[in-house]
Amino acid sequence: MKATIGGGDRGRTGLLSGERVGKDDLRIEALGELDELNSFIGLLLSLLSQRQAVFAQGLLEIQGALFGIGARLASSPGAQGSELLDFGLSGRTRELEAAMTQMEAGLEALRDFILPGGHGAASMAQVARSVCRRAERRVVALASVKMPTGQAGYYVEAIAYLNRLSDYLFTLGRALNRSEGIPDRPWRK
Amino acid sequence: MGPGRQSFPIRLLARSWLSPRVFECALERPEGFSFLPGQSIRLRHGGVERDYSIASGMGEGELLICVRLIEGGALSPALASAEPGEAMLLEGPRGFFFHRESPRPCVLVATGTGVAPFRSMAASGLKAYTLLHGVRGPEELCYRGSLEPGAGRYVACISGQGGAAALPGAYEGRVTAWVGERLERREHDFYLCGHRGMVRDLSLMIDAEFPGSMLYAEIFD
Repeated sequence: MKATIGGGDRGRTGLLSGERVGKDDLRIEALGELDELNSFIGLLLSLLSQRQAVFAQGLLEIQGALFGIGARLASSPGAQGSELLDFGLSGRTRELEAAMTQMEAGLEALRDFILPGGHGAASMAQVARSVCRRAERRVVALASVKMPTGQAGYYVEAIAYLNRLSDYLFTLGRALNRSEGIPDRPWRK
Repeated sequence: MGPGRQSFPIRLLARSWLSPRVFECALERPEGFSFLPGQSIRLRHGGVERDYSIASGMGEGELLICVRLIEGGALSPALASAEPGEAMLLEGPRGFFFHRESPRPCVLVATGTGVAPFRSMAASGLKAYTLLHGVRGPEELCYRGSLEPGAGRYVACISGQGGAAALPGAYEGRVTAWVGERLERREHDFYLCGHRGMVRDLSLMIDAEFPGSMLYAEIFD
């Protein structure tokens, strides 16, 4: 695997399924959002304190899943070999739900909107959440353009995963604050 | 990439030299090990791991890989001296570089040992392809005997000075120059395997001069 070759120096790049597309293609936009999200999760990992280290493994798994989603988006629906890009996303979505339920059990029920912030790692979880929402919007836009080909299911798992991941990152932010003894800060109008 | 990637303990079965610097290893093919022609394996031996394209066809009993001996290299010197029977660990199949059925003509472009996945495609039944093999001298044209018979066009592109003169039908120059000068302007399916300079130059040329083509690339240096 080589990181760079320069084949995109004139504004075009290649998909896994062989097409050459402009770097402003919706798919490349979506891949860029996923990349940004993944990088913020890497930054979040680097901010975890010792007390928060228990959350690291889950974040590493999320980083792997985001690579899987990226590979899938980089291949056109119906392209030969798509079966190689089945990363079991629906199972991973369920894992996120289970992990989120576990975190919520240790948190007070939410009665107000809360301000994003607190501990550095918790704040970064909220940054990642907002980037995740943007990534989700891009994939939804992509799906609305590409779905008429009769491949509606192709993007559905990715959209569901990103939707759940946003919720997970929100809850994670609260859990990270709690692990440092920092209370939620409610929105006061 | 993808599910089903597994690790298998295997043995080296045989080794033969294809050129002064390039040898082929025949590896035990694990039972039930399937792959698509063009995919690679990860080989682990003596605590070091490297990826190699599979050179054998889907129907062959052994897995063949093609290795360039690099002085001081991480794995190639050990493979060059390993005895048949030596144990190794194989992981795979890997990668998204494989042949796709298509109505467009197929153009396979390799530099050096990058020809290995194309040997796998040919041995798995691919025919009528254009194959360009870029090498410095004619002695580096490994797998020519396997690749030429099924090819619509087989072009040895020899960049070393005077190398092409010794080989009838060879093209003197790089694969990129041949594509630029001689390939019909239309949509093709390009498969590129080799060093990054070749992949970069051809990617840019394909964008500019062969719009609508498909491009699949595997890079190694």
